[in-house]
Amino acid sequence: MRAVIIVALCLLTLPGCRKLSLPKQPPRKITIAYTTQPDCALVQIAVGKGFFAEEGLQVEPQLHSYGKAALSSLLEGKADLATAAETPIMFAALAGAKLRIVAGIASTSKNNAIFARKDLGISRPEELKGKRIGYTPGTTGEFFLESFLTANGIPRQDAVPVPLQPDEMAAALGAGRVAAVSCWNFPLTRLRRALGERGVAFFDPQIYTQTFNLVARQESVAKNPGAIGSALRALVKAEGFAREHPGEARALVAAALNVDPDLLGEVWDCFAYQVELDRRLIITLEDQTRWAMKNRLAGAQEMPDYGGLVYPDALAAVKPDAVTINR
Amino acid sequence: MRIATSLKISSSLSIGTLVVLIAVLFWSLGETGKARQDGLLADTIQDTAFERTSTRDEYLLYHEGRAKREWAAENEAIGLLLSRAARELTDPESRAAVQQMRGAVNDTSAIFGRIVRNTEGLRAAGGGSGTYQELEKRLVSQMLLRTSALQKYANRMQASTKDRVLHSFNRSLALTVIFVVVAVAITLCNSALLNKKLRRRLEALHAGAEIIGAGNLEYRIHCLGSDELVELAGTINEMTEKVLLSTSQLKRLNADLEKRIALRTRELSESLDLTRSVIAESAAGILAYRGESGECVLANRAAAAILGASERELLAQNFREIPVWRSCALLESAEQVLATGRPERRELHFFSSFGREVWLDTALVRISNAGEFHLFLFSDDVTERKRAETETLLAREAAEAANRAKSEFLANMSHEIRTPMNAISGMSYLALQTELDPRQRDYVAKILQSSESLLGVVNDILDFSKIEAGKLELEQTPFELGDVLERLGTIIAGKAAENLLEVLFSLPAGLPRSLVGDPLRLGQILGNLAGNAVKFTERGHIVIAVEQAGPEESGGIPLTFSVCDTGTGMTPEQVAKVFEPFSQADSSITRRYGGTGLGLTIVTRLLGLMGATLTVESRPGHGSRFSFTVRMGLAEARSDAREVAPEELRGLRSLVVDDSAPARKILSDMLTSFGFRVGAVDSGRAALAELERAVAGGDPYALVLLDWAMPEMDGAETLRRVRRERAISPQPACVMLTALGGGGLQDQDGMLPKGTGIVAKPVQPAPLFDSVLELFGKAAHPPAHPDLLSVQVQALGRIRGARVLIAEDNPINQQVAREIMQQAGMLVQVADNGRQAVAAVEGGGRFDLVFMDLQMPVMDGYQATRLIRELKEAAGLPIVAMTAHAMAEERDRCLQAGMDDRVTKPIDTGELFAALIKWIPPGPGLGGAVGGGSLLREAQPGGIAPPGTGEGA
Repeated sequence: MRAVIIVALCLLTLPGCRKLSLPKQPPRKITIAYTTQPDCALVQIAVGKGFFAEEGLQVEPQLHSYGKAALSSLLEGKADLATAAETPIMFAALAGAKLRIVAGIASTSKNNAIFARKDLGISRPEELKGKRIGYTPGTTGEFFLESFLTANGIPRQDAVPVPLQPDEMAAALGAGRVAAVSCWNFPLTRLRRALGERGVAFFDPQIYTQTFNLVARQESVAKNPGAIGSALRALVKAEGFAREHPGEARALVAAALNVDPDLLGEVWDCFAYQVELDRRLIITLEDQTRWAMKNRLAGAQEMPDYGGLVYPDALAAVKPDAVTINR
Repeated sequence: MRIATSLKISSSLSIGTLVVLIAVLFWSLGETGKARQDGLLADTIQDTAFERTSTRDEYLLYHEGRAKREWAAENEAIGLLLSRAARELTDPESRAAVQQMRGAVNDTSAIFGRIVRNTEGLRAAGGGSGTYQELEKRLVSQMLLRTSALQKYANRMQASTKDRVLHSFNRSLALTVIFVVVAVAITLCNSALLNKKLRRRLEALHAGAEIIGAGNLEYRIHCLGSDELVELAGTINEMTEKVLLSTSQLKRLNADLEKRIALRTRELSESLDLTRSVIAESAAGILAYRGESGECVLANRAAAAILGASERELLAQNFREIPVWRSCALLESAEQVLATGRPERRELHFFSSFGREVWLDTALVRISNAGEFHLFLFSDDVTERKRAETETLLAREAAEAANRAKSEFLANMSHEIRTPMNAISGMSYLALQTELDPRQRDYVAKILQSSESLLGVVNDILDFSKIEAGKLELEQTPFELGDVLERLGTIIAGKAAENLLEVLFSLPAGLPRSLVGDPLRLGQILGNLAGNAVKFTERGHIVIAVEQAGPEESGGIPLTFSVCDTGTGMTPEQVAKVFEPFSQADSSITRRYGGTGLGLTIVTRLLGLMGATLTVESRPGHGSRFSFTVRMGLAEARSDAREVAPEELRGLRSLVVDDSAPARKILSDMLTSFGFRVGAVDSGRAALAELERAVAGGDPYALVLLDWAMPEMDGAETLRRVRRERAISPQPACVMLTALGGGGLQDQDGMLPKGTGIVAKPVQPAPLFDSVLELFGKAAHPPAHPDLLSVQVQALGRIRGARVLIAEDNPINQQVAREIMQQAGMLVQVADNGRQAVAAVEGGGRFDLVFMDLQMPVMDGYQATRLIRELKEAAGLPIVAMTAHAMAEERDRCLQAGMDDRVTKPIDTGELFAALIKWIPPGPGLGGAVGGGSLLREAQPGGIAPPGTGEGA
């Protein structure tokens, strides 16, 4: 009987053995530069759901229309963290910027496409040959355009790339200054909706996989690794929330971006919102580096060590199995 | 809680918990197995993916066909594996990984296809096209990317399955540990429970029980709670209480018992002393022997004295070895008593050791003592008594012998007297039937009368001796009271008439008249009493009355008979004397009245046999009244029809004329009972006056009853005057009452006018009633009491000529019998003894009847009867015994010998005729063969053949 009582008492005390909560510290202010594109859904969720605040971060959002701009802001020291696709990061790295990729926050093979006007004589990829095609230099759009043309047997010189800012593309296409544009969402879907039957979008998920990443400056990483860890924990929470409550997540993101929820719904499934660091990032960076060096888009002549560019420790501490890059 | 409940709950919980745990453990082990299989699958997928990567690399390096084919094969293999994984893996993580791997495989396949196509395009282009090369780099790069993803997912799946294996294993391990722990805990709990609930308390109970068991009955076991142990403790305590109570009761009882034992012991000791004293002092000799060994264990002083030995000598004896026992056959009795246990009483006769003759009345008794049978002998010395008894017996035998001799003498004497008496009366009778001159007739008549008187005396003596010898038995036969009274009247009337005495019968109406009893003895008693009354009454009347003394009861009725006279009466002393045999009230009486003095004695004895006593009321000068009450049976066929006048005669005015007041009273009552109106006067003259007065008064008498014998004017004269008197009109019918027989009256001198009824006195209701009815022409039935004689005369006429054999050794008897029967018209043959009788029947005599004397020389009547009965020719021949012995046993003997009836000797003419009529059937050849005329006429003096004319005299 006595033994029974002892066992019962032990079982009763178990729930009480919780981690003692740490004494609260004042929230750390942090500026995150991120885009108004669907690639940044996890950041928008983490901000909207207050996950950063939960992790002791007082986030200062710094919104940009695309990643390259956000990255520029980081590099300029205007933000502590930024979100960007691998292409701007690659170019920045080749340019000698002291960056550290902290984690990937989304990946997709269906976000990039060439949208062409049929009425301007493009209804098949081969017909891009000799046409004016709008693109934003130094972005994934440029790399996708190059790859798509290659895949369709169109040498770069057989097309007429027209550099455009992302927000200029709709007008340029509408005005016929370009017959097609290499773009991403939301502009892509907006164009498809606007032009309807008059336009055509060419996708090729097998030639390009875009990654969207959280980037910090090297000195920030060295100086303040805890904040990065906190930010990553908030993002991992957001990832879990998006996985478990996709509808609510979509609604939240749509509201935050002030976009039509249907619009967001159309593109949401193109993305894999996962906080991770794996070899695919390195492969993609190296591939693009080779492409940039061959086309002399960057000054460097040697393949940089992208392993050094990645900072996996923080993520490994927060979500160990998400890190498949050897350090 | 009760122990049973606790144990039930505890075992149920234990079993339930273990069952759940075992189930969970089995489930967990199953899960572990499944996870291990999944892990193997993941490993295989991983390996295949790896092989596939190698093949891809080989193709990308050499662009050769084998690698392309192997790629296709491995692609197919990994596709199948993933399909299997999609089916088998159930955890969401693995399923997601499988899904992603499938996407990656599809992507890599597609990309590999494009690489192959691009390679072929490059070959076709001659190997110089930068676009192809560029595209290949791009595709390879994407291929690497996808392969990396595939590998990552494969790793993840592998890790996941490994995790699951580990997790399952850990879980199983934990469950096993928990199982073991729970099992141990349950065992500990149960053991603790048993320990707490049972062992300690059982020990307490045990200790308590031991204390109580050791004898401390004041101790009580204390047990807390409300379970079976408490009940057990309670029960033990209760039991202890009871034991305590019982013990104290037992002690009390024991003490009481000891007291009683002491008391009993004292009583027993006293009783034993008393018994010893009784035995020692007992007048009876007491001896006791062991049943088996036979040794004597007890002998008292009396036994020693009786047997003429010392007690010590007796105690040294063994009863089986005492010679006297053998000689007296006492030993046999003793063994029998010992064997059966039935006590026996023996009378022992022997000579003691002193040579004294000893008679002992000894009781042999078996008594069981201490499991052994003892034989006890209780002996009374009855030697003196025996001697006295022997003497008494001898004396009595002598007395009885003397008495017997006297009785026999009397009987013989009677017989011897009767035989000549028979001759005298018979011959006198016969002589009176001859022609005699008046003087001779007077002499002979007186001889007959004297002989009859003497016969009466002899009969009395004979009766008395029979009664004294106890040989008289009463009959129980149906009879008519009227017949008995009629016969009595016949006997008495004559004597009474001589004394001018009136005899009256007083019979109340409705008295039962068909009775069962001994009519002969009843008649004898009444005859004796009436005879005495007549004898001792000089004038006045004698009333013989019968009354019902009580209600009818089980077929019987008590009747009081009385005979009342107006005679001399007796003093109380005389009354006392009349019952002594051979004595009379006054010795002078003997001289004056004669008689044996036996009459009343016989009456008394006969009444004694009937269970009645004779009562006498008498005063000197005022007459006597003798009465007795007997219980008579009622005949089944009763003729007690009351005489009641038919309707038209009811209220008939009748007049009784009698000088005797009692007679008037009795006659008046009789007529009243018929339903008539009755008037009565005491003389003929008064009757005439009364009749005239009645006619004048308009209510004339229709019937007059006239007593014949009246002073001054007798009945006949009165009747004549009545008939002559013209004033008496209408004339009444008239009945004359006379003490003489009716026939005699009618024939005497024709004094009475025709149409006058005659009724004999003493008057009985039935004849009077019949006579009255006849006068009024209402006699619907023949007279109920026809005249016996006239009937016999008619019947004898019908059997005239019948052949009768008389076997009789006495010649005088022969003669008397023969002549009487010859006078009755029979053809008579006489045999001197039985042999002659047999010879006569054998010789073809063809007799109609045989009269057989019993005691005859040569062959007696019994033997002769038996021989006749053996003869064929004598079949159906009636044989009637003639015997002087009227005893019942003799009658039985006669019937046994084959006789049909008997008549008594001395021969009574009426009885003889009755036998003839009874046994000879009237038939052809009879009725007129011999002589003619009526017996009555032949019986007239001189109307009969002289004696000695019969055959074989």
